[in-house]
Amino acid sequence: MSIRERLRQIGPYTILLVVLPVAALVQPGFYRPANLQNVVRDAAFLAIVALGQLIVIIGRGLDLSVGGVITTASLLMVYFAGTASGSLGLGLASVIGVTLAIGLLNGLMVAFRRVPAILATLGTLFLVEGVSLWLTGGRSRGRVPEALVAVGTGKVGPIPVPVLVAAVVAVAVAVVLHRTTYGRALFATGLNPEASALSGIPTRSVVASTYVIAALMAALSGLMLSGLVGFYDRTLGVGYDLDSIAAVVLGGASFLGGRGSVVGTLAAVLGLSSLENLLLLQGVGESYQLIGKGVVLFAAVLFTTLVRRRPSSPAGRKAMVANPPERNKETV
Amino acid sequence: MRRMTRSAALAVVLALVLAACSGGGEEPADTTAPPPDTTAPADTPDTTQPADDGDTTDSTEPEADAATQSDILVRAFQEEPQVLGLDPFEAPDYAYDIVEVDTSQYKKDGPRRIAFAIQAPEFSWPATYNDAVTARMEEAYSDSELILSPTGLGEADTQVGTIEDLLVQQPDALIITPLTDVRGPIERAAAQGIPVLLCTGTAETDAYVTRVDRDNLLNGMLGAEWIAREIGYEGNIVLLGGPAGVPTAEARLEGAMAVFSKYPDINILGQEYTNWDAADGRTAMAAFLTQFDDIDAVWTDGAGQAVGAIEAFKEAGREIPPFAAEPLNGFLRLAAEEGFPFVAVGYPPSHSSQCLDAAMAVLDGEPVPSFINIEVPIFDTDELDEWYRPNCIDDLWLPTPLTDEQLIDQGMCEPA
Repeated sequence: MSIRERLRQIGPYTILLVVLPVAALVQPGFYRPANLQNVVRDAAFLAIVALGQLIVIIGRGLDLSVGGVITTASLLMVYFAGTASGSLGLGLASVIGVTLAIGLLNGLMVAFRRVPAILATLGTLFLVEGVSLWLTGGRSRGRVPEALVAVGTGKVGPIPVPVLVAAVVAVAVAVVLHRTTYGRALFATGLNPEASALSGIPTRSVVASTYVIAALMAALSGLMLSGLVGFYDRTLGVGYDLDSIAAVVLGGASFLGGRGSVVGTLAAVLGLSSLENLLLLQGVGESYQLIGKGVVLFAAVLFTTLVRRRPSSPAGRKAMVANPPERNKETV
Repeated sequence: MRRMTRSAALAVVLALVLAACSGGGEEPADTTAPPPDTTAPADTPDTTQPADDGDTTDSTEPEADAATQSDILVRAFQEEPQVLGLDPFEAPDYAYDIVEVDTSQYKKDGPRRIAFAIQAPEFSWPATYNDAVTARMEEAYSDSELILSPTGLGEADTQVGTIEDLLVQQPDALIITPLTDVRGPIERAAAQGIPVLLCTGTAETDAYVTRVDRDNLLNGMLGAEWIAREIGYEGNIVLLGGPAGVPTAEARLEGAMAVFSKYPDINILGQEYTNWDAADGRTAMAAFLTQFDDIDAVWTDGAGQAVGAIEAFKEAGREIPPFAAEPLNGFLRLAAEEGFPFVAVGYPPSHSSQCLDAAMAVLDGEPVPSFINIEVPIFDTDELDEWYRPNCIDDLWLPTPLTDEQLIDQGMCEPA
């Protein structure tokens, strides 16, 4: 394995490799068990969303509507399950139904109508937010059901329940991507949709399905998040769209499709969550927090893109031909 | 917290896309003083009644008719702390600078067209804000026309265009809830002879007629002074502010810091901007709780982050200390359930109706003050039962302009 390839494999861990030693030096409180629980729990919510985003990006897509799905799932659950006349079953049914509709809309627009993913999912985001507003008039009508609060805030031993849920989701995604026909079809579709279609893969259905899966996973994260907060929050999903995309790509995926790693995505998510927590604990001002995050993210991105770039020297190109980057390899 | 990485994440995503494709404060001293002309202040209808019509602050009661608005604001600084049993505050210099504005040039009889560039009803606070002005229009000015043009917080940069569209419709008066820099359209409206009123927020121009808002420096001071007394003027506290750079939030924070700086034995352990957001408040407080074993009180400037912070205390199994927040029913529910001491200093969304009243006063040609300080509810643990509405949703801002029947009809309350 070439040095470049080894560095490429380190890419997803860049932020963690920066944050963890720095935290040990400047903020020992970071390593308190209670704080680590907070870090991994916050990471769990983003991880579930990012794993859905990973599936979409492997299929050469992008989903900007996940933040809207998170907020909508929370709103629907509060609206239909948080009142005296509501029930958890009704709330779950509404969340699943609406989420499926959102995912299908995204999938059909992108896969069958050939609408660019960034526009289709942005349109869906506006639509979802508009319908939510129309439905509620801007007010949530109920309270977060206790069952959700138990999930969002509960622990099994020292491990927060959302972390366990994220772990189950991660294993499931890894199995689906790497041990099933669907997973192989998805990687193939992302790498070369035309060739995949010619070889008999129903590429449109595969691509459409990725948006449904991403929406369902965002809804799952939204439900647990609302349980954690214990209060309907209109802005619950804000930021998850871009953060999930950043985590997936920092984790080794490519916007060109056909490449992506569950482990890499989880490492990038954990890095982002650790970075946020460290800056918060340090108590630096808002402006310095943003600057710090920007610097670390850019450093990670530069590192990732530099080690991915084609070598410019003839010797380097020869070496690459001899040891091609494992773009097609489905790493877990 | 997550939105705080949004900009950085966007830059990263864009950089990666390119790489992939190529290689493979509300200024508290704002006196908002347009051309002076002194007369009487505008009326400020009482909107601060609790559920059972109990007493609240009375700093702007009708007996102040003969006083100037400066007198009213100065008195607010002096008298509102006494509602909580605190010593009077010294009023800031700008409180003395409010002037009366001659509006005779804007007088217009008959039905009027009022344009309102309002915050979109995206969540409960602006939803109530919208409802209140609509209800006031129907109730008191049914012969006139109200054109509402909403702008969401996420699209604040489009508000200038929205206001320009309103100006094309040639309203008799323009009310703006500034969400961005609206100097340009305010000055263009003034040049067209259209009186502009600011409702909740500020603008860096003196081309408007009046501003109807709450003095947010005072709000921040009230919560902080109550906290200081509650902990005996010594101890460790945490501050959770609103959105960084938003004038309302910055003024409240400035007020709080001014109070806490008076007490050297009060140690500020941490301070974080939390966007008036429950999730952000929870994240910040959870981190502080892992870092500090003794947190004696929490000052917040909004109920949203306070709710999240309280949930963090509950989860950590720590005793909930005194809180300063706002009268949102969900916050009051937690206070009732958990039994922690609190002070609630309001910022009632229903004050949008006062903005409409002020616009009508301007079109009547009545002199108006350059700044109208709205009344707010101020109460602490002792009055919890008078304010908390256990049969209503968490997401209900108090006081509400809606009647009990309307609240039930809209699904916000169950019949008691």
